[in-house]
Order: sequence, then C-alpha cells, then structure tokens
Amino acid sequence: MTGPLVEARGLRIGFGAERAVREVSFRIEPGECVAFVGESGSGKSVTARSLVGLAGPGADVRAERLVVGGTDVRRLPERRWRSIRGGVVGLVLQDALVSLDPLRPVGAEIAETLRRHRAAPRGRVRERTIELLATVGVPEPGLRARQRPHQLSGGLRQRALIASAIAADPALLIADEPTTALDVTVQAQILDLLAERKRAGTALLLISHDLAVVARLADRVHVMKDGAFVEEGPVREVLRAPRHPYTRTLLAAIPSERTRGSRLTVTAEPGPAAASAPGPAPGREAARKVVVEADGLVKAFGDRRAVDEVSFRLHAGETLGIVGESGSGKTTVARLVLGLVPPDGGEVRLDGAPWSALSESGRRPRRREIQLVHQDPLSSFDPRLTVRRLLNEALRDGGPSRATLLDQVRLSPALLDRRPRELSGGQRQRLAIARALAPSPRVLVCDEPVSALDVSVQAQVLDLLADLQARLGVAYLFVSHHLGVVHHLSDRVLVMRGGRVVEAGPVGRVLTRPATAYTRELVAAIPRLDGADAGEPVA
Amino acid sequence: MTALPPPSRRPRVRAGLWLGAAVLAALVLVALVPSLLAPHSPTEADPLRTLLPPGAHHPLGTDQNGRDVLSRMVHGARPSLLSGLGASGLALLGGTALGLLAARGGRVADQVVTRGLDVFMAIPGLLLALLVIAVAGPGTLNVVLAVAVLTMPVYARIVRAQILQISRSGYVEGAVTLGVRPAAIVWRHVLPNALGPVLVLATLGVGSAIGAGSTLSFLGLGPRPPAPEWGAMLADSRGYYAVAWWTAVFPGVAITGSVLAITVVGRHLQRRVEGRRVP
Repeated sequence: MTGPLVEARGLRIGFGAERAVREVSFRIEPGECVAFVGESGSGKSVTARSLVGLAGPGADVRAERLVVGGTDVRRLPERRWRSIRGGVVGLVLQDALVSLDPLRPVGAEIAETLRRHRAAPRGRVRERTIELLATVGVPEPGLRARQRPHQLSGGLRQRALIASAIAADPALLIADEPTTALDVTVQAQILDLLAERKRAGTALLLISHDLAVVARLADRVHVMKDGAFVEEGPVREVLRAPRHPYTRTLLAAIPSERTRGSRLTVTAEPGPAAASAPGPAPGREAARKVVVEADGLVKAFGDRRAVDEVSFRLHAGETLGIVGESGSGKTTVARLVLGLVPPDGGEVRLDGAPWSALSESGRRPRRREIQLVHQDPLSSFDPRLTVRRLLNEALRDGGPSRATLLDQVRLSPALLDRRPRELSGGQRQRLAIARALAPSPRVLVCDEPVSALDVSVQAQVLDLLADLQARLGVAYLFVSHHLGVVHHLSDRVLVMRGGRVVEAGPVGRVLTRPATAYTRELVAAIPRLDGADAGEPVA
Repeated sequence: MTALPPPSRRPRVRAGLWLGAAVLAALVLVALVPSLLAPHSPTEADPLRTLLPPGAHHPLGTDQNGRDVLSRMVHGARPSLLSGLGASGLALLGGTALGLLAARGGRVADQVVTRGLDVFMAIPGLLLALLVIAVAGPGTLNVVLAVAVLTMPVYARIVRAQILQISRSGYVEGAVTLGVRPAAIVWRHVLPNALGPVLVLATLGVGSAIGAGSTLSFLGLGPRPPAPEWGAMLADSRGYYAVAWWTAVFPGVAITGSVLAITVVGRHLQRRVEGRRVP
C-alpha cells in the first residue's frame, strides 16, 4: 500500500450539542509513531477511537476525508468496521483488567482475533497464540495462555492485550494510555515492547497525557486541547522549542529533579503570602524537632509482611517522601502512621509521646495533629454533604476560619454550596487539603495526592503544597510512586520494596546517585523528556 | 484516561409508571376519605339484597350478606395500606437496628445476629407469620407485627452489608482522622448513606407487605369478620365463585392492583436512586 496509513482531514466529532473534537487533520505514515498528547477531556481518545469506528454511542463523526488503510471509513457499515478492527488497526487500552474478559483465558482472547481475521491456519491457532505471547515477552506463554486476566500481574495483562492487538498483524497499533496504570519499571518494559513493534514495521498511534512517555517513542506529536490541535511537529522540536503557550505550560508543569525548589505553574498568581519559591523556610533547618518517629514498624496481612521493620523520623516542617511500586507497602506505612491500622510490631510516636500504642479513644483527642490527604478525593468526602458542611466538620475553635482555609487553597467561596461530585478533580483535591489543614495539624500524610490529576492541575496542587508548607511549617509524609513528584517536593526520601526500606537519605543523593541496584533501576526507568536524544537538557 | 462521554439518555415517558402513580394516588385518596367514594356502609347487611350482580345501585354488586362490594373495597383500602406501611416501617426499623448492631457491635454481636437471621430465613415465611399469630393472637395489629417479623431479616442483612461497606469508605476514614466520635460518625455519615437504597427497598416492601397481610386475613387471622379487609373478602367469597364472580374478582383486583402500583413506583424510585449513586 502506498500513501499514508491514516489520513484525516477536517475531522469533527460531536456528542449531541457538545463538540468533543473540532476540525482536526492528521496523517499517519506506515511504520511511524504519532502521539496525541493532552489532558482529560481534550478529545484525544475520541479522535483515536474514531479510526476504528468506536467513538462511542451517540457520537456524530464527520470529516472531509477519513481514510484508514486505504478504505474511506466515513459511514462505514458496522460489518466492515469489524474487518478493520484488529485486521488493519489494533487497539490497546489503558486498563487491561477491564479490557479483557474476566471469565476467559487470555489465550482465548488472542485466538479469537487470529480466527476472526484468518491470521493463522485453523490448526495452528493454538501454536500461534503461544508464539504471540512469547513475542510480547510473557514468560511461560503456554501456561499463561490458559490463565484468566486476574491471575496475571498488571504488566503481563498489558502484554497479553498487546499480543491480542497485534495477532492479526495490523499495520497500525493504537495505544490509549498504555502505561498509565502501571508501575514505572513495568511502564519502561511496555514502552520497550511498543518500540520493538515499531521497529518491526508497525505504525503506532500513542495517546497519553504524559509528555515524557511520548518523548521516548513518538516521531511526531500533536498537542491537543479542547478538541483541537494547538501544536504539532516532530517530537524533538516540540519538546525543545514549544511554540504554543499551552505546550510550554504542559512542559513546565512536569515535576522532576530540575524543577526542585521552583514553581511548576507558569503564571503564578501571587498567593496571600507572596508566592515566594518554596525554598527552605526560615527556621526550617534550625527547628529540627522530631514530630513523627516510626520505630521498627511491622504489619502483616496473612503470611505476607506488607511492612517489615520500617523506621524513620519526620521533622517539623520537612517533607519526607516514600517511593515504591505498588505492593511495596508505602500506603500501609501511611496508614500505620495515621493510626488507622495497628502495627503488629514496632511503634509510632507522635511528638515524642506514644501514638500507635494508644487505644483509638486515647488517640482521638490528638487526631487533629495528624491529617490525611487521600489519592482519591471523591471517595474521601461524604457524597451527600456540601463543601460548607464538609469543612464545618473539620473546623475547630481556635483553628483557622472557613474563609481563611478557602483562601489558603485558593478555592472560591462560591463553591460552598456544591457537593463533591460537582467539583473538578483539582478543586476536590484543594478541598481535601483545606479540610486536612482545618484542625491546624503538624503533620500531613499525603497518599498519592496528585496521582489522579492532570499534569497542569497536579502542578497547581504541588505548588500549593509547597506554599502551604513554607507558610505553616507543616511536615509532610509524602507517599508516591511518581519519582519526579517526590524529587520535586521532598527533602528526604525512603525507597521501599517488598515492605522494606531499601534506601533512605536526602532526595538529591538518593535519586541522583542511588546506592542500591533497585533504586538505580527505578530511576533509570523514569521516562524523561530528553529521552528523544539523551543527554541534552530540555527547556 | 478520558472516559467516553456517556450516551445521551433521553428519559422515556413510561405509561406504566404514570398508571402506577395514578392507582397509588387513588389508593391514598380512598384510604384518607373512604366516605367520598363509598356509596353505602361497608358493614350494613341487607338480607334481601344478597349476591346482586353489579348494577346501577350497587356498581360492583353485593356479597352473600347483601353488603355493597364497592363500599367494602373502598373501606378496606385504609387498613391494607396502613398495615402495609406499618409492617414495612417496623421491619425497616427493626432491620436497621439489627443490621447496625451486627455491623458495628463487634464480632460476637455480628455472629449472633447473622446466625440468628440465618435461622429466621430458613423457616418458610408464612409459617413464621402463623407462629407469630399463634403466640400473639389474631387481629390487625398482630398481622402487622407478623408481616414485619417476616420481612425484617432481609432489611437487616442489607443494612449490615451497606454499613460494612460504608464504614470502609474513604470519608468515614476521613472522619476518623478528624477525631470524630464513632457515634457521631455513624449518625452523620454511615446511617444516612447506608439507608438510601434500603428506604427504596422499603417502598417496594409496602407492596409485598400488603400482599402478605391479605394472605393472613384470607386465612382468617386478620381483623374480626364484619370489618372490611380485602383478604377477608376474598376468603368470604370462596363459596360463591360460581354464582357471584364479582365477590372474588374485585377484591382480588384491589390487592393485585395496589401491590403492582406500589412496585412499579418503587422500582422507578430505585432506578432513580441507583442512577444517582453510580458515579
């Protein structure tokens, strides 16, 4: 086939009155990797899905030209779409657990694609399935083919999904946030796998909110905002010399080693306490009072030790980061520190006094001193209550007033009568922070506080946390799987693996000159903006 | 990633729902002011006018004692509705208390309550109701009590499951970290959130409670004979099916119609509530 694999001109997608995509045009040549980058709701997913006729029920897809693999797909009957899906275009979705049928072995899923597109002779389907699983790097493919999705790890599921997408050898593979749900080391493996497919001649359409992920793989990138491309071009040019302000905002918003001590939001509205860079606050080094002391913490669930001999100290006004992959025990440490679960061994002391050793009623009077900001703010609010009532519950006599709190987290008082569901993700997380600050705590435990947020919103929340710490001197215990975020915000860091602390120390030392092999592996796996041509700094 | 926008859902106007709501409204009106619709006294017997077919003077005919079927039906609405409401309310109250005790009262309380409910549910419902009547004696109030006991385990189980689920939620944990007392957490966060779906179930339960109450009355365990009650009217008509179909059909339609109407409206409420709860 000559000419582009995909050509879209004047593509518009609407849902009723809402225009999700307005006039986008792009081409994908055989064998190249094109990326759509944008935040939630930018229309990048719908655009990609329209190439396989899956823009969604009620979608009104119009285009001057929309050609996929040589077929004009405008008003294509469903029957003919089916030969395009899987045959010409393979689709890999974000969450392999929901994209795979839970009741069927993953091998059956792959075999189905093979049979549907007659990609393997009937007698060789089983053999070819196992070959495909081996191709995508699944160990023991014969055994794995017979297992069901829940028996596989997230990384293996994603591999199996890719295997079924490439089964019929499509010319184009669409990967919609293929690594968002994965740990950083697994993410690196999946990106390697996609790079391998590209070398094998498959064109890739990569959809991501993460510019760094894109930097590793893509040849060309389209930055999408509000249903339109604001910038497009070769990935190196866009990343090195972004022309559109939005692209610059996105790039500046990425927290990393480089952004440490500086703000992530470009247009910093000066906060009430003059938005100074969150450098070491006066007296921060001098105080050095220990507020939380964890000593030999152990917590077992069944036979598995989720937390194994973890000890650390958190000083007043500092940020201690805890990084690790899923299952490393970092959230359990946070819950132990909060006194939400009792330790099986060891002790947490708060301000030098017993904390984990107390009964719940003994802890209750002092609960205000240690507060939590949760990963998913929506689930941490009673859905029936308004913002006003949610805050009232947390307010104390002698603490900050409601107006002060809202001002501190820069939320408008107009939101007081809304319910959590009626707030945006960023507003919810600000509300969560406001509520956590209401009892004037000395320690804030932040468990993945920005993981569910878009990068520009994440930047605002991280800036806010930095400002608040500089102003109020609250100590943060900052749990995250995102090394860039931790590097940006933390003073010291604990690296956890399998419930144990493998490395601890000042963040600059641990994350730039790691002493252990595991930390080195973690750091190496971070996708970097300069991945496109290593070594050269960006921006 | 960006979820696909949900398909535009246009609420369909369901004829059944409107019919159900209309029947329910009529039922409530009739229960409130029976004299408005009843052409005659419900209990006054006229030996000269027994088993008259529906006609101008008696729109739905008369029964074997010469009483007006329409009047009896109309006057029977109030006890039926009240016993249905009462039984559901009692069951809900008792079920909530038991569910709360099981979910928040510690391991021993949970074991005792849950096993107790298991035993309860193993006994056939009607047998259980008969047992209650046998102990407490027949009568309207005891029928209500029997039906309440009959349906309570279901509520208790659902309330327990709801409370357990909500107690694990992020916002209850949030309240714990704020140092809110457990009783306040239960009252402010757990109960209101747990009861929403159960309340809807209880509206559905009113319908089945009316059915169950009528069954007990049919067996002669309800209100004393001259009092108008749908189940009892059906029972009275047993000997006269062949000659006076109206004595059986109209009370039967009343029972079926009201149960159906309440169920239709209840289901609609359920869908509304669930729709709101699913994020």
